[in-house]
Amino acid sequence: MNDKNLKKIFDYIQNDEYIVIKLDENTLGDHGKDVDIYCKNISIIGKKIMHIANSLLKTREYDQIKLIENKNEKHVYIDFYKNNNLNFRFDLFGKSPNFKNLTIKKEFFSDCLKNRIKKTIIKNTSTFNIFIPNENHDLLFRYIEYTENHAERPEKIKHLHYVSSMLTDKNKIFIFLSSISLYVLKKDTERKNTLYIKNCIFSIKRILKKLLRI
Amino acid sequence: MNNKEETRYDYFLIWGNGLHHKDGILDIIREEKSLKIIKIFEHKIKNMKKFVKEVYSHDYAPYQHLKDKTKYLLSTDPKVIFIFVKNKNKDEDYFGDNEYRHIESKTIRKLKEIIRNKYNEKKEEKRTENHVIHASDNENQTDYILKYLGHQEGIDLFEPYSDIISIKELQTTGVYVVKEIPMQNIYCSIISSDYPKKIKTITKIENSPHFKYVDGDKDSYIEYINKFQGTLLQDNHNPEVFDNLIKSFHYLDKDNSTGYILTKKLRDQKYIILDGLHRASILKHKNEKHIISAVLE
Repeated sequence: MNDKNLKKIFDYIQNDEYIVIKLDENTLGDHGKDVDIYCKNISIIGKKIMHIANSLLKTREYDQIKLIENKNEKHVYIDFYKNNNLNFRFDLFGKSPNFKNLTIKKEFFSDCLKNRIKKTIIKNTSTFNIFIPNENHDLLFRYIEYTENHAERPEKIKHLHYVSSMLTDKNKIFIFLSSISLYVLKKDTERKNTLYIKNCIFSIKRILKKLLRI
Repeated sequence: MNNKEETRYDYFLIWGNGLHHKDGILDIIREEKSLKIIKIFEHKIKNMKKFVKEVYSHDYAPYQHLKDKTKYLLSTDPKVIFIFVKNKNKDEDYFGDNEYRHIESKTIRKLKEIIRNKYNEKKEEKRTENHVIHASDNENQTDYILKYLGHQEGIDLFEPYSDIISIKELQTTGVYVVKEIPMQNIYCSIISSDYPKKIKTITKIENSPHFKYVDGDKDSYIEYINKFQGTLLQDNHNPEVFDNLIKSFHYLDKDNSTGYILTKKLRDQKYIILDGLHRASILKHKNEKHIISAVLE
């Protein structure tokens, strides 16, 4: 997606509450790439993106927009297609996604929105503002991305490298680790399994006791 | 459940003794700006006694009182019309005394009284209590009656399926392709003139009663609506609503950027309208050559 169209979209949502997460400024808008946006109100942001999409369909800049929605998860992809090729994707989240390995407290996302910062993007001839998480929240997003996906996608190590490169002093490390303990809980599947087995044994014992009494 | 705290879903029920006032009752409800009619449907009753009991099963009045009060219904036409509405002005208050004290929406209560005053049978110029209409006191009653009618999702039936696209209670995969389609490739499905032998016919937009109405031939549309509303047509359509749409229609404007005409692809590059024939008829009449549509995948 070219800089002019990115500008149209981000200018149109400039008064709405959102953050672009794991922003890579260098590849923003590049062919085949996506941008992850966490929205306070996914409906408002989604409809505004589609408003711009309608005008881009009319001017034939794109030939179709694919909208893939999982309403229960409040997760929407808005895919811009040109000549039947996926050109650019907006990946919208309206609530905290379900993570496989981690449990993230829901306050994390509202705190990210509350403490978001404005970033000015200069791309070719266009200048526009977007909202991103503050530095510490951004590192946490990348840490989550690494922890969730590195087993299947080894290239996600880049997020860990980025996090370690940014933790340049003791104070930053302290804040980052405090945030992990504040927002991130490890899913205790092992404990759950043990409890489940204990419960099963307890139930079997009770049934056996009853049977023996009879 | 309806999560928007300022709104709730309610229903009106026209009893058999009020069916011949259906149009007048609908007009009164339509005039109340804080209510939006969502669905209108007819229900044939197999066992009136049982049905009355179901309708009043969540009522607050004592059972014996209800039994006496609803006696007249046992001899009415075993057919009713449900009108489900989104109530944008709940304006709730307490009514009744002691153990029968309960919350009602003043908007619904007021309208119910207006309708009863106008259409209840009169004796010696006084309104009888043989009511032509019943209405819900709260949203739980609406939820219950929908489930009783076979809609297990209750009031969730009325919640939009999509957060982004304005479509009505359609069970879909949630994948839509938004693109421009040549108008000449768009077809519609209307109730067949051979009904009930054949239920639906696929035809060009210009053959629909909807297009003919926009084109000035109003009678065929009025006849179509009158014949099938409440049975095969359950949305809030009538000539007045259509006239207002024609007057103020701006397809996909800023305030309704995702109010797409919803279509599905058939063979040979043809598309059939799933939702939006009224809007498509207006666009066709304006001689639009292409329209942006959300195509259901």
